[in-house]
Amino acid sequence: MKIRPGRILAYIVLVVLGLVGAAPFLYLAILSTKKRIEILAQVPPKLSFSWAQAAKNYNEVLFSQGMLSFTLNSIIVVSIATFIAIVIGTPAAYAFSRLRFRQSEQLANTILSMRFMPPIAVAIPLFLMVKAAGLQDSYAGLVLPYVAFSLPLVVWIMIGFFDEIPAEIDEAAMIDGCTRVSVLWHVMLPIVRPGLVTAALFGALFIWNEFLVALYVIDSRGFQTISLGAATLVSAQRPIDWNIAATVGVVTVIPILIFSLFIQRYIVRGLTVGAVK
Amino acid sequence: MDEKTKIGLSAQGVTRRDLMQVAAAMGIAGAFGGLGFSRPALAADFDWKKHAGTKLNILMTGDENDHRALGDMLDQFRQDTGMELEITSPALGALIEKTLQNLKADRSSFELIEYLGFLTTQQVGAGYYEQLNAYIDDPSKTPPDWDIADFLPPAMRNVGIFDMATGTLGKGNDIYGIPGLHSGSVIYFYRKDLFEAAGLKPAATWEEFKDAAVKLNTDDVAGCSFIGANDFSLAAVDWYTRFITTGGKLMSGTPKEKNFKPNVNSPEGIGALQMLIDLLPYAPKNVTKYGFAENVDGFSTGKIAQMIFWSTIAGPILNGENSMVADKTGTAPVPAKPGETARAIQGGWGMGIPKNIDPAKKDAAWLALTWMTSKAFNKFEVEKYQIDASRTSAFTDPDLVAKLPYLPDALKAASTAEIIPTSLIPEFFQLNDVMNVEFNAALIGTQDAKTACEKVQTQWEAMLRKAGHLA
Amino acid sequence: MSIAAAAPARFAFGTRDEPGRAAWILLGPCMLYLVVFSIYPLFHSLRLSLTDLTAATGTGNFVGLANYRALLVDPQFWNATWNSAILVTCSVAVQVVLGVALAVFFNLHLRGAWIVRGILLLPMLMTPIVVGVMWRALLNPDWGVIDWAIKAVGLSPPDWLGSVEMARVTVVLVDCWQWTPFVFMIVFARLQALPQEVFEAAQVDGAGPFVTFRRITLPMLMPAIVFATVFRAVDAFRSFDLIYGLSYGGPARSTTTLSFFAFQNGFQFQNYGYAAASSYMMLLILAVGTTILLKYVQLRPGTSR
Repeated sequence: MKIRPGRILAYIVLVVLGLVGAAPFLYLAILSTKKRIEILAQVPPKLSFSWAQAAKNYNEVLFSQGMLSFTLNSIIVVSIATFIAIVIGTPAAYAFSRLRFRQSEQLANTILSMRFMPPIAVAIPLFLMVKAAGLQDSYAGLVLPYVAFSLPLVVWIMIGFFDEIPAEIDEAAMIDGCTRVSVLWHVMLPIVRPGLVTAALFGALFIWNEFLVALYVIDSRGFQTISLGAATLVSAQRPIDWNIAATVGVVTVIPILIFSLFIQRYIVRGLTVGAVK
Repeated sequence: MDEKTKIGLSAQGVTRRDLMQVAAAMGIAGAFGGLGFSRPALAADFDWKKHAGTKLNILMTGDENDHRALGDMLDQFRQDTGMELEITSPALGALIEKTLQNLKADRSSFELIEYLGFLTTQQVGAGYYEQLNAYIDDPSKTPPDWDIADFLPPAMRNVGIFDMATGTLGKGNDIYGIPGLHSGSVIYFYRKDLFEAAGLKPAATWEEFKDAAVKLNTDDVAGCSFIGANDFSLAAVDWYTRFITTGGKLMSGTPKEKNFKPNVNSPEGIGALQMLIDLLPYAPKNVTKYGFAENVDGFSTGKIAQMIFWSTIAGPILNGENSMVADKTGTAPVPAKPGETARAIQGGWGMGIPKNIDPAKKDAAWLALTWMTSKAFNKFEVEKYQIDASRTSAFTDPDLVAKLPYLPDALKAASTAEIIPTSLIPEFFQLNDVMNVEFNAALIGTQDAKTACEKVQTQWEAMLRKAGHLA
Repeated sequence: MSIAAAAPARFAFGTRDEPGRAAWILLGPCMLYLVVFSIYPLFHSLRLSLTDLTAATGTGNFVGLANYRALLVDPQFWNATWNSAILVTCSVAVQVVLGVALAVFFNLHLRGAWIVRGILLLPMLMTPIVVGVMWRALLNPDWGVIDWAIKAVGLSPPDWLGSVEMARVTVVLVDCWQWTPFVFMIVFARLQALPQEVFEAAQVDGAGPFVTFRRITLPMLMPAIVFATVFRAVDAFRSFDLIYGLSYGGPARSTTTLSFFAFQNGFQFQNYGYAAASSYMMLLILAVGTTILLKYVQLRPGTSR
């Protein structure tokens, strides 16, 4: 390949972008190996490293505070909720894409607009419903509202994917005697699989950090999610253990780093084929 | 801190094997946390295992070290009582929200709830908690050495005693909550080394406080500090302490008679805020951004010569693990105008049993409550976390006092502490918020002290009228 | 539009031209779910907003529109509305410009770019509380590394969260740090999907890169940009976590947005009725805003073709 100066400049920009983007996280990582007092007294932080102190901070966060199990809880709740949202949302999206019944446009827009509800407006009623169903302090108590939170986005993204597929494919299948439902199941699903992944990722993305509903619904540590666990970090009326806070930061960033490095290609590719055109 | 852990951590240049040893030591420390401390001695002739097998849930603050202390002792609790205890410990906002949900529900998920003293009227006064006198008086339910007279009287009045008939906090003999896990007030922290070098005595008056601030202020160390940010304690600690110790009276009248009128724009009110404004040149450069955390950070790194603060920060400041000035810090009662008693706001928590819990668990909940408010547990909390005790015996324990010389001052503050009158109405936090916003604006320089106080006065009056406390 | 729109719904089960029936089967579960878990809670809140429920009273009394009347004369409500307007407008404007620039840059397809892209996507996935704490550490006036770096090059650092004006700027900066990647991702996806022939044709015609961008790329990116703008504006309007973690609405309420105002009233002061009314005012603003917007742009992707 011919080396052009513009290209070199672009690579320099890329490296700088990467460094600037990564810097806050590197800073967190450094702080997470320090003692509280070292963070306050060393400006900038020395790059010396103490295994013992790092082990102490991480042990405190992962095990004593339980961040490891909170992470697992988040993964469980978000996965189940997203799965259900896909199962319910995909047929609806298919209907919106293919069956242009009266008011279908308005209905689709209404569903989308539910994505925009201020959480503060619905958190308490949702909690009361969950409680009435006896599901307080359980995975199910979180999954039910979370499905409702990710459903609008899932439906909406899937509409885009179905719209991409020529209607002739369905029509051909229906001439062969398939019903709408069986067309969806046998013909459409295999085609829109990348769309399903994209919709699932987006659905998950916006409930991963949900805080208010979780706060109401979950009582015991056994079911706490990441956002609840992290919330105990900051309170105005006490000194902040900056080293522990930084460690929590690193611990919460690692799963999403893995997620975003290895899944982002899928997101971008999914978006290219489907929605947002 | 467990001895073993300390040794392990001080070893620098560790090998992988060392690391594993450290990890093992920490594992041990985690499992048997608090083993090195005085184990709560159990009273003989008392059946601690009466409710063995019962599972209890406690909702408590995650903002202080109370939940850590209790967590450390969970194994001990299990051994002693045979009961299981699950701790839920959110931060303040979440705690209040969760408490209210549970108190209003048909059945509370938590058999024990810790509530902020400022909310006693709101929560206890609304009749949500079980009256405890019958339990306390029953020797089969209360251990013989659980001495109720040992609790600090102001703390008891602040969170324990409530007269339902008149809705008055601290009146009568009906007990609805037990002080703790910790109580506390505000004391004066100063740098012994700097004061000695300058030939100064710790400030007893606000003039002396300012003089010392002027004299000790250097490029590296601020002459004094205070909470200057838009933060709960700006109003509650720094302004309120200066206000009442210069003769200010926050409210006149009572909510009941609908003549509950604020005196924020009184000369004392404006004067107290002006004192803070006058200290700005001798305070840290960023003091208007200093909340709780920043002041503790600043003091413990040796950048502040003196300040008044919640005595509960004795832990981070006087503990060598967290502080660079642990052995250089002295304490004293807060300054006051000559002739006024040195005193400050009454802080701390109470613990009660919601009425709406499973009736079969009430006795068990009470037993657990006596266990965690026992003398031994109080002492353990003070020793390990320097949490303000709620029992006189913990403040005066000779071993503890020898180790933690600030305790007598903390006791003095705790014994003279004053309940802030606005905490008698449910709008307390809202009133406090208004004051913090306006006072912070005055410190930033967008308005003067008089304007700020007048604005607070106007807004408070409007809020009190709306809530029906002022006609 | 297909013929189905005009066809009356028929309810013969099992035949293949039964759009009504099929619609019910396909749509039913989703609609039912949203009615139960989205619409009903909204009605519940509406009812709540017509009461004077506070933590103190326990049960609220019906007060009609009193909360709304009180809101309209509450200077703090208008202050919050104004702050929301400023913060949302500034944040979204900056995010759109930066997001498009990033998308164009990454469209160069440099080797290893996916790693940098992954790093840039991190902020929007981060737990808001952690974002707040991280920035409070970075911007700490006493020991934060950013102030140190600014001082090290001989400048004096700004008063990040301390002054009324700067606090707003800081909130915008952090919001952009967190959410520019979202705009970038949406626009980048669209960019990837554009037919290459158009650009090649432009090159053949001798159009420079700027002309190509302004005349060809930008118009074709417009749907994605509009989408990202609307999405971000609504999200920025309704979320309170960043303010909560970073500035707590201060100083002097300069960063108290409507959502933070509602949060404080409901969560901190337990004025549930008043908080519900303010969140309904937000809904109203959102509804009016999106309706006007929908008049001009098609939000639903499929129908723009």
